[in-house]
Amino acid sequence: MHKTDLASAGAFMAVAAIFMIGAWRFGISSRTSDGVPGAGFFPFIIGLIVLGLNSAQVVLWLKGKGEGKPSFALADEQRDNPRALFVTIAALVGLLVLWRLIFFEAAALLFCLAMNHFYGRGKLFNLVFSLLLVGLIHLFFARFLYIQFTL
Amino acid sequence: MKRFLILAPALALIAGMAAAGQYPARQIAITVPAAPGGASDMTTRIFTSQMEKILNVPFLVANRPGASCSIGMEYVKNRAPDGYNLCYIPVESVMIRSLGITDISSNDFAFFGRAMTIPAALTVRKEAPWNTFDEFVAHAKANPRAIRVGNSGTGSIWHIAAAAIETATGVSLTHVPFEGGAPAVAALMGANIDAVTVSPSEVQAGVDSGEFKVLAILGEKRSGVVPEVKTAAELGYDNIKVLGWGAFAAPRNTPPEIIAVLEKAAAQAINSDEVKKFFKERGFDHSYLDAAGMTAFAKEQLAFYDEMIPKLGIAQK
Amino acid sequence: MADWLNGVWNVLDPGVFLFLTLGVVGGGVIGALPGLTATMGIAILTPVTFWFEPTKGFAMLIGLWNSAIFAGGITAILINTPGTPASIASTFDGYPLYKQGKGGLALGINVIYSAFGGIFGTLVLMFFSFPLARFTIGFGATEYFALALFGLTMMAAVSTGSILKGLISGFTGILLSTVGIDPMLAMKRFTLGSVYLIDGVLFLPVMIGMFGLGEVLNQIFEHRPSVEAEERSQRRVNLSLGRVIPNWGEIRSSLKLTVICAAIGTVVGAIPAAGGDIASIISWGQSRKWSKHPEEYGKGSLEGLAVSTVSNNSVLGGALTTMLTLGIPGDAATAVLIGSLMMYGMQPGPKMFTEFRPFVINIILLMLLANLLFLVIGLVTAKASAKVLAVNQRTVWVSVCVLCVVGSFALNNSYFDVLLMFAAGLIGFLFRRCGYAPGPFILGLLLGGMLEANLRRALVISQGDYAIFVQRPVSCVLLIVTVLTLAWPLIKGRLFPAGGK
Repeated sequence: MHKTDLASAGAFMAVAAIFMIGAWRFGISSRTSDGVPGAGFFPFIIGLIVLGLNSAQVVLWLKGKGEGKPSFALADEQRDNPRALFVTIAALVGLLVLWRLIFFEAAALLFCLAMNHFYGRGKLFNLVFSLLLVGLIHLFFARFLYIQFTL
Repeated sequence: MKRFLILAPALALIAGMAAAGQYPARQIAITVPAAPGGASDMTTRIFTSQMEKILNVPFLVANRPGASCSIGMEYVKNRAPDGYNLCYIPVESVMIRSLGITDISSNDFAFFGRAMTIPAALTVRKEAPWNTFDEFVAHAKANPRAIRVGNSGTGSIWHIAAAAIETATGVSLTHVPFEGGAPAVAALMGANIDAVTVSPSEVQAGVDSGEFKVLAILGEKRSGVVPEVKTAAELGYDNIKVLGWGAFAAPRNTPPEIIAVLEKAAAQAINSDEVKKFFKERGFDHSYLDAAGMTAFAKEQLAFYDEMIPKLGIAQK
Repeated sequence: MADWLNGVWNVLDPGVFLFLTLGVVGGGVIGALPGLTATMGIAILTPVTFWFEPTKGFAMLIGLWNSAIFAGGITAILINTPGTPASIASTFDGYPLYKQGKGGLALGINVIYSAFGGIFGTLVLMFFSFPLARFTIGFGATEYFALALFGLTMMAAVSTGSILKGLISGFTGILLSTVGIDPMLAMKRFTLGSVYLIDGVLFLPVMIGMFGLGEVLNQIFEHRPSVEAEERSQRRVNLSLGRVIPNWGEIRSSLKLTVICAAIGTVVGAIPAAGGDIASIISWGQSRKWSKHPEEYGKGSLEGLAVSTVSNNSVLGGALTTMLTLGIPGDAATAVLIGSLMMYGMQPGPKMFTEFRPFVINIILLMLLANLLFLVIGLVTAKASAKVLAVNQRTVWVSVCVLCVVGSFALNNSYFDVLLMFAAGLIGFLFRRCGYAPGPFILGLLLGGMLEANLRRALVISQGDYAIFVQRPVSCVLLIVTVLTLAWPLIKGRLFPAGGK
């Protein structure tokens, strides 16, 4: 039991509802005359099952009065972690965006340098590691497998 | 300064001509809009291995599969028409627009050569009560929707082959789609369906072992895999010509000089012994066409499928 | 007999052996990297092999194939990201073992049981190829549906934590598998007008994202400096004491189950279009039910890891069976191998065993040799590989992030796949935090398509008749087994009330 079970159940139900609405539009009953279900049949039924299961989840949550493990609890020593998490995610987004603007190897190098620096690794280690990682990837993928990271 | 301004356009013109004259000057990338290891991929790789020798530049083969070859073709369509980004174009190019998958069609490309064709082969099990195409058609007429024909997916070339039989002979079959030709052949081997209309090379193992018999080839000419089997045209049905094919092209507005260079090299490459041997081993029909011939062929095919596919009732906008 | 001796002589030729080794090493790297599949490796190397004679060329391909499946387990154990889809089940127990500091042992089990599975599969190929192929070729849409259904019942077995949440996770995965082109009618479903979603939510990028990136993000969030130092020194201690090979008692206690799962793997492998992923998940799930210590599964059970690694390698023997006897490819990798054989002028099918018998013998011997080879290489490098990751966690984080991006791109040269992986990573993080197991989700995504397509295909073939599912013997049996599996806990409760286990 988690405190967030109501919220997560709600999210899943929303997803299921979206699928079910789309499925309804495709047609549930047979499109062809030989009794084969239409394109919407399967997603609709599965969506229904997901709704049902999540309803059970909601009921359990209500019965437990919303008590349970907090999903995002943090002890004192973990207090810096959310910041690290967001920085990592932001860096990844940066990598993906930069890749479109300049080429992949450069973007990846910047990513490694930035991340290692943020995590407080030594400058020399940072440089060597980043160059090595990106270099090996380039060698293996671009040279050996001929998979060039061009978009 | 003035002198430079006067010289500049002249220099640019010379540089441009020199560049065109020097084509190709660096690595050429060719996209295969299908997964590695398949027919399209292997054909392209053997083709480029020859082209590298002829043009003396390295070729890079990149696989960009997805959405019935749309993703790979869309990628090349959007590249600069400088001759350094080419594409392997399969028959799907003339089908995806009418299937409603994308807006791309063979008109977006400048062809410089066709390599091979693969006809559909109507194949049934050895114990089936039909020994000829006519017997098959007669049974289908008497029992509408009784015969279950497997194909490699709804809207695929092999599905259309079976549909072409329906249109030309006026019969009604039940189409059973699979995720590719191989599962369909497996289903036939396990006697789960009654027939398939896929490529001859896919059923070759079964034919050789005696499990299958091929009733007709639904293409332009007989297949090297089963040379004794007549084409539908030879059997009197003129309108059943459904072929897979593979050709090479550059984006549409590529300058004609560059296409000419590619065409000449491709003619040599495709007609080389290595490529001919490869096609023979794999059961494809070596069918070279030059740029003009292929362009005309593509237009004809596009018109054919534009007409055929909506009739199947699966096209969607 | 003379044929076999000849074959051994051929295969031990230094040139052949060299190619085999190259293949095994190459396969080890390709298999370990998430996003690179054995099929890709084989496809890329095949043109290269045409320059050489058939035995040498095939030695390289077979070495690569076997080794890649084994190596997929390495990253599954070390960073919770399967190197190939066939190794998904190895993450269930492999990664917990690594976290407990028993990484070396886990890697050793991966090597040994992978080799065992590969050899088992090859022996089946030697002695039972025709009967096995005849049996599995009869599998029609009804049987595939029943198989997919059976695989999906493993959802409950695969959920760590609340079973209800596991089911929610699983069914949502199934729901997501409906995105894309309808398999029967070729209608676009839920594709939001994007060409990139026409093929659906691709499995591999999602797997890499949920298991790899998701795990990294979770680790960053949960990181405890106080515990970290202790865990690290603990891992070092375990590694240096480190046994890499399980002791005899452990091997003996799981012997029966591993042999059964090897058989399951081979049979599933022989079924066209069913591969290591389904085989290992079914093996793991079933083994958990039959095991004497089911509570350990998912928490670092040696037996759990052993059965999943044995079954994904024994799949290869089964796939070769169908490929050689009938010329039907079991999956993309065997399709490429068939192409290779045709290039050498050989036609897979019954004729292989008569006209080209010496080459078939070569293939069998190469399979055995490849397994022995990676067994040796794997054991020797197991400790070293585990040590490599006894490094600072932050190094792992950065590397895994980059590798996930690279791997998900390499699959299809597609930027969209990378975005998909990234989204899956974020979702994987949220799943873990809110108590939803990612395993059932992946299972649903994997099997949902198979379930739906075959349900409807079976109905097309039977022309609307639902009775076909129980009229066909194999499908009927599978369905009964499925129902029993689901109902067993209840039945057990009735038959053995209170005093029972």
